[in-house]
Amino acid sequence: MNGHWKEEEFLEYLDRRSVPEARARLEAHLAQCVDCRRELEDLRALGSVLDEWTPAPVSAAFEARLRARLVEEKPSPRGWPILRPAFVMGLAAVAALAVAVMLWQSPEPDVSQVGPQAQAPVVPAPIAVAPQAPPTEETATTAETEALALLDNPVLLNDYELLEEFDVLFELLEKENGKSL
Amino acid sequence: MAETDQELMLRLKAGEHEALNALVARYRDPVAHLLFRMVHEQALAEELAQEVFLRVYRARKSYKPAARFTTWLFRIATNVGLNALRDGRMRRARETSMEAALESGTQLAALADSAATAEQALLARERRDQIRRAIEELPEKQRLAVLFHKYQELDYAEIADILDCSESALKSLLFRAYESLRVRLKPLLGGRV
Repeated sequence: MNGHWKEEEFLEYLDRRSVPEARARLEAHLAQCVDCRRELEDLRALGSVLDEWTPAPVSAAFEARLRARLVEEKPSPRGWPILRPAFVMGLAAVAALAVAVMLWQSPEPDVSQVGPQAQAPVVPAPIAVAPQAPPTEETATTAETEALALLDNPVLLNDYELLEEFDVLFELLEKENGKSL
Repeated sequence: MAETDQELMLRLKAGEHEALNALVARYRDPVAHLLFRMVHEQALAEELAQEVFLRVYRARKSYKPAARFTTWLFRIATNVGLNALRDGRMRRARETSMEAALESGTQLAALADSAATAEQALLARERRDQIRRAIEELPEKQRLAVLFHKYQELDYAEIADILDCSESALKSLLFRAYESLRVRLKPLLGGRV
């Protein structure tokens, strides 16, 4: 801008959004000022040039693709917790616990053996090996209790539910705040 | 009488999922075109436009009809577009589209019997590329202001709201952007600046 007019006024004039008084003043000035007239013509020409950049029409498959993505979004009212990291972590922890319980219940290898035999590949334990005493009711109950405690872990399993219902909680809080006000 | 955007959003919030179809039909083109002008690649722009409508769907429960729907929608679209630019999806898409352009250039050369038409098409494409580059070289906020003002034809108040600035600052931003474009696109204006 050559300093004769405020940028805002010039832009509003170009957009045909000037108030009548401002328009009249600018037009009176344009009638006398070659520089401002030239600038105005250039900016109008620029508008036409910019119109040449037209995007291609949106493809006919747009809605179908969007629908497919929406279907992925809402397969169940609770969403897809199986895809959530907290759920996956919880599942992994339960699986690890189950493996640990199985290992704990299986017979321990005989570590007293030394020499070449100890290096041999691991084979299923022969029937002759003294069977380990079956887990008592008390130990089984302990394992079950641990598994149940894990299922109840609020960080591992309830986190995704908290995330999912985040907006619901917010709505409740807002309602409460509204009441308190 | 057609339902307003806000009425459609409130229906969507209430669980009437078909209200989203009406919003998509109304704003598919403006959103996809805005994103195309941000990322310059058609397939990516459409994918991002779908993401915008998915976000609208996800946010339906927390929707409040306080602000204008289009302000909210274009704010989401701007964020989605800027994120795509920043995480490099645009670069990868452009590499793919350049390969496609090279292929189509070969096909164009094969159709040399209509040389005049092909030359015109190439010239038009070259002009469009110059315009695209000139806009792309603007600072981010100026670029977005031009996209909303020139191509979406939104009013000053709404653009200022989307870009989180005052109307006065927006007008100044726009004027400086158009002045820069006037200089950069001098050859297309007939060489007089």
